[in-house]
Amino acid sequence: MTSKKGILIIGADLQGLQAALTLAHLGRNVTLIDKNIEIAALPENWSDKGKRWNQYLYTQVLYHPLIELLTQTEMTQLKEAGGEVKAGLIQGPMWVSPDLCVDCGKCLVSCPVEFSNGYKPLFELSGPSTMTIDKRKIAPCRAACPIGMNPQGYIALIAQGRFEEAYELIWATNPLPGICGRVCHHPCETACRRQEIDEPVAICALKRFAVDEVGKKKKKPGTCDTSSPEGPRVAVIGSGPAGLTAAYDLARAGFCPTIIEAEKKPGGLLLHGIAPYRLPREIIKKEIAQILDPGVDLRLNSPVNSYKDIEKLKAEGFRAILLATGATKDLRMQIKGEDLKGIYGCVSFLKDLWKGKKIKSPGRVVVIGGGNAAIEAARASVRLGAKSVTIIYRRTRKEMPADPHEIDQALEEGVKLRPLTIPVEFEGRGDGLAQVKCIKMKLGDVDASGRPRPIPVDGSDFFINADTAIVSIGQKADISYGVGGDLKLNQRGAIEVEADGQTNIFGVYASGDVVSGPSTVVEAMASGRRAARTIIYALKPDTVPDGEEEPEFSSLEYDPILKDTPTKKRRAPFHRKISERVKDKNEVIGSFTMKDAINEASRCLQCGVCSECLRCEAACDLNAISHDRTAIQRTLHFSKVIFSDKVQTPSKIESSRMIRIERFGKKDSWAKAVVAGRAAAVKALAGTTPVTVEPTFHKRLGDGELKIGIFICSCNGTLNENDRLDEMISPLVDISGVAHVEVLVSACHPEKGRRIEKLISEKGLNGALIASCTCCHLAFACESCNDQRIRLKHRLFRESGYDPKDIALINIKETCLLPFKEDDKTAIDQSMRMIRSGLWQLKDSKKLSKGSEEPCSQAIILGATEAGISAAIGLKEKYASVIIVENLKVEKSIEEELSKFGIDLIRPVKPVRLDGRRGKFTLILEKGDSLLSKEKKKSPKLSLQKKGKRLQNLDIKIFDESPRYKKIQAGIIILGRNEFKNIPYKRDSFATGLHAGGSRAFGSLETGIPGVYMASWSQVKKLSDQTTGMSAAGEALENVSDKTGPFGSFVDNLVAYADPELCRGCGKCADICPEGAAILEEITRGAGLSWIEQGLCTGCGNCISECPTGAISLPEAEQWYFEKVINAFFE
Amino acid sequence: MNQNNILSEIIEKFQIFHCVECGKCTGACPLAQVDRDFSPRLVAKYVIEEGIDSEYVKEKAWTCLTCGLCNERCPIGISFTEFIRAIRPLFITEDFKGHLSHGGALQGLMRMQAAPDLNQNRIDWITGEHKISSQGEILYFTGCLTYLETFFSEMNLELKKIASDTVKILNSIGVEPVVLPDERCCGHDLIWIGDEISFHKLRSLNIESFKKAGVKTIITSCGECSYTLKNLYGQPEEDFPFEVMHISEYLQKIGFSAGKELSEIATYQDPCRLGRFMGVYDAPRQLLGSIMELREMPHFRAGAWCCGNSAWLHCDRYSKQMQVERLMEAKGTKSDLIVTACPKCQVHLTCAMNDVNLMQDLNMKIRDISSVIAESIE
Repeated sequence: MTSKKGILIIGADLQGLQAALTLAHLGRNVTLIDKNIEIAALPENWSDKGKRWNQYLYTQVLYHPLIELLTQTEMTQLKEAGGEVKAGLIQGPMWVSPDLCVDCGKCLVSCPVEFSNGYKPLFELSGPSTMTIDKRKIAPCRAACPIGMNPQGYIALIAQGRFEEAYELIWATNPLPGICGRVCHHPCETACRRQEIDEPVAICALKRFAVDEVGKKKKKPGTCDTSSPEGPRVAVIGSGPAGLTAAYDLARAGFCPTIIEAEKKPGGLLLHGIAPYRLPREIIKKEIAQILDPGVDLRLNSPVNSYKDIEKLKAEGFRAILLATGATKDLRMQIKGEDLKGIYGCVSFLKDLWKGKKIKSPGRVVVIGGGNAAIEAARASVRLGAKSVTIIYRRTRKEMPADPHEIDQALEEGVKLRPLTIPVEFEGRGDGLAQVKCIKMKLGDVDASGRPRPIPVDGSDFFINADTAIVSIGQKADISYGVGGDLKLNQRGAIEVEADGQTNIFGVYASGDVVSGPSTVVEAMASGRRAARTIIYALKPDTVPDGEEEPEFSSLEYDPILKDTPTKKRRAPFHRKISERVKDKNEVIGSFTMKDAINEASRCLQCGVCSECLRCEAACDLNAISHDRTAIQRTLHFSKVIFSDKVQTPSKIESSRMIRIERFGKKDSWAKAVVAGRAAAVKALAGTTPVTVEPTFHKRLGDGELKIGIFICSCNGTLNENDRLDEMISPLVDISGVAHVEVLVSACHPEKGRRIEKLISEKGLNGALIASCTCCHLAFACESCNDQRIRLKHRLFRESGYDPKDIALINIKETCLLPFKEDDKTAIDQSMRMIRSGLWQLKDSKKLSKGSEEPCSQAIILGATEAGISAAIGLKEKYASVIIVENLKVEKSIEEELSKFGIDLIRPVKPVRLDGRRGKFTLILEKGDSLLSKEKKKSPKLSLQKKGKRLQNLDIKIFDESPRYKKIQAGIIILGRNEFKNIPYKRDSFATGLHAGGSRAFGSLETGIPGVYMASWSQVKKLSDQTTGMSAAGEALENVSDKTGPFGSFVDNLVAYADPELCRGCGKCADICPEGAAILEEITRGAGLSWIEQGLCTGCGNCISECPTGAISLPEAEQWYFEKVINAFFE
Repeated sequence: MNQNNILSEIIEKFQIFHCVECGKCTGACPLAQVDRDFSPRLVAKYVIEEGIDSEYVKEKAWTCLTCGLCNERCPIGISFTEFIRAIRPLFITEDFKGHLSHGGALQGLMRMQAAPDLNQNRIDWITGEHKISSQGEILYFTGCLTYLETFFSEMNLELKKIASDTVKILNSIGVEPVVLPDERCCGHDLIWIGDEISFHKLRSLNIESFKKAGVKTIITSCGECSYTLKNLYGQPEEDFPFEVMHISEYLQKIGFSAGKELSEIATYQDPCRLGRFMGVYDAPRQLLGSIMELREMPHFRAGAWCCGNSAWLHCDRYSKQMQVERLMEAKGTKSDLIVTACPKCQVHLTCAMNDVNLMQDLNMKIRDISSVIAESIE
């Protein structure tokens, strides 16, 4: 049974490409996969010829209608069942789509990442000719950030002085950037790999710099617009970092959030927990205003005190309620004397203070606790004029959870630290505090928090005199609103939620410290973000992709840190003098200077290589780049599988459906690879049927008065700097016959380029000139074709079906615009000349040569050798009649095998003369005596002239008359044994050896006579005779298949023709033609005429350059045309 | 004056009215032997009857070989060839029927040489063994040898060697000729395709150089150069105070005696310009005869057949056929080599030897007379 299913080829290396092309030429659907992105690049040690052939095959494969090329694709599973092969394929994420990229290089310019050796994460491939991105594992700083900021990206931008873009990138993930830039506990810096060399990069300060620098004159970026007129209403209770972030995210997703705040001012703990000298109030004000305006409502002075309040909100129309009320209730020490005057909870102390409550000098202050809040209280006390400030902590400084930087600053300001101490009793004088009784501690084993457990030392009691004590041992959530409802709490007294923020009550969510207990600003933001996402997904399921589906990151490792990387000191921003800063509430730390910021940013190691700053996405107007693309998994069914890539070849191939391309030698064996690739393709043919493909019929645009459209490609705008291309429009419109002139974004782009087709039909144009990088109508007649050029030609001539005669293609990019990049005037002047010349392609209808002969559908193999038999079996694919002729004895078993395949055997006969040409050979055989006696005829043997001597026409007549000789016709001939090379041919004896040096000599088994192939290649020991035989058959089949039809060139009628009036009959065209299409026929002695067989000509033009008299011409390359083109150029 | 009147004047000047329609011209014409459509007699007839509008004349004015064989046979003595040269400028019109071989590249090369500021590398064949001078009475005019050798490099013709050999011969008799590095094309092919403007530019550039070098006698190694300088540059005579001679004429005049005898048998191809146009038949034959056996082809001296082309016009299957016939004649003499005195004969005949069907039958050595003589005095 035969199958119409396609054939899978694994490995698009040279042999794989050749196998794919051979199969496709023979009408088989092919899926060609390769695990690499770049497939046209070859090892350096390959010869230029091999590389050229690889490039040729690649461009042919690229847009072949029967070949699907999947790069970056691996096979995950392979099963044979039910007469077919099931293959699981996974194609890696194609961040740069080769189908959309025009290779303009804009993205390269936009990328901020550049290593000291010049390497950039974006680089150009040689085939496909597109950009590619080097992505590694996600950078450690980014991975560490709870809200997923992209420090590598904005640092790279800062290093290039691109502060606005850095600002935009920061805003993409962080709605409170100025706040985070000051008070974030920066886990990114903890993760930074730079500390393996010296110190981590000052990421937090760099973020602050960018926000301060750009924020001075600019509001939040337009991309962060939050205004949404309608959408589900959500109440966010609490305006701390969690609530603000959630509200912002909701608004960006098109929701209408309302923040409900109990206090007079929004900000929550940002306002009440953090000192203004660390976080100036105007920063909080500004950033909250940016979140609010527009799109987020704010209600102040609206405490939510009971569960009834929540129900009221629901009744008001809020479809979801997010509780983000924070942890604001100070924990108590639970020791004696805690109710004495002068003892405060830390948060309530600070809250009163920052609200502006007058607090008189606190005297001697003891602060209990080691967190940031404790430090905050201690430094606030200094500024209130305390006589002394002592922090008591039960472990050592090393274990203090506060930011070390903050501790340093506090100590600088005169705060004392008493580690390994714990208060056991507050002792008062009257109702006021007098002293704190403490005991000393020592460190024990590691406890559940990962820190050593503090153990009291017996009998170590001592007293610290104090007027004020601030207890800062933690806070808990104030959830009075939960009372009276069913809101479920956990053991710690916080709201119990599922990981995504959903409480046990439908429509009520919770996030931030109210869930987690006291944490940090950025963690609260992250929690708010997660809850917002949950709400968005619950209310608008289609807006958020499946929660599981995070963008795909690369798993490639970072580059190792080089040992010789020079160390560079971490820069610190300006700090105010201690004596000054303790006197007021103004900010202690300044922003980086521009110079320091750039220097500091340049310390970044760019761990992820690509930072995913997305500047390239923004630069590409063609949607070619998307960092969101994910891998695609597919399961496909095939009739056969060919393995080319040795890595993926199973060690044993047992099934007949799986074919391994025969292994060949080591280096530089491209010719052998081509032979082996063809052979594998022929092997795979058995049991498959070709698909029928509708040929492309070119439609002529209307005749009559010329209405030409001129389309100038700006290559995604890169060629149109200073709008220089636009200058050409008005002079070109003035040329008679020109109806429309336009500068295109891109001619080859599958969508943008469609304007050409659109305007042709809208304006009724009957000719189009496309001035781009595409130079001619042919497919890989030279080495200039690349993905983009082929793509344009494929679209115009195959998909849209225009007649190539109606479309003129002019390459102004490489001839004018790039060479004169710096000189606009010359570039435009030259382009104008080129376009004026090019118009001649459309100004006259072209002549065509006519007539074509059907090639003979019989194939002859000389010699029943292994190679010959193998070739014969292969040829049965296309040839109804395959004949093997042999003069030696043939074994019975072989004869039987041949008849099984339907191959005829004639023996004993000896080939004595060959005539004709490809598609139409005549072979004269001399019958052996045994055959002749069977036929009961007798005839004398002719004495033939010596080899190499010209045989007169007379001789052929004798062959006709004598029964000893038999004449058979053949379209192609395959030589099964090398000795047959000596059969006299009309020109000369065969050239010995293979067809070497000709333009088609890439692993070709064709001899010097087109249409005659060798089935064995004696020089190559590595390949079996079976392989070379199959390959010869493959090459022959490929060459007779319709090369100029839908599978081959884009141009089916631009073939050469010979003017008999001018032909000299010298035969130079016949000598040079690689296809055997130029044929010289003798008329009388010394005079002949050449003609071109249309079906064989590919329009390469070799004959034109060789013809001394100018008799041969291509419709595209006629003498008059060139004269006019040159005149138009110099007009 | 309109074109028809100019034509009438030319017809008058060359006495075309005197044609007796005997047809001897057509009978002798080698082109008419292979192209039955071509007839000098009909050209004469139609040019009188239809004048400038005659389609026949428009076409045949360009296909004529200008070999001059018809002139020899005309009982009235009409110079048909000179007539063709005179009318060709009239037929360079929009409706140009001529066909320049090699895409007109060779004529282009010649026109380029008419540019006054031109840097040429035309004497790279001069080595230490050549003695030349920059001033002197005798000048050797090399012509287009350098250009042709480069242009037809795939034929492996030793054309520059002709120049080298000619200087060697002159050196052997004590002459150190002037060889001009900025010599220009003589303009033969341009005037024969009707481009008189370029021809006159070349002529005055060349004459200026000759005068600067103080030249009295000009020696050429090419029949066309000889004819052009002597007959076409020399009018009016007062402008051209030089004596022009082909190397064979010069050697004969000074009584040159060649050196050793060569064992090869040669046959001599008369170039049209040197033979019929200038009547130099004996000098080359005497020189060659003194060093080797010389055999004549069936058509020789004034009846010699042309090499098949002139002025790089209309190289077609008729040219090829004529060349093949001529080569068969040469083969028929059973000589070892063809000797000629014009590099273009070498180019044309060598090209025709590359015949797919007759390859072995046509292959024959072909050399210039200067090279043969130089070999004998080595």
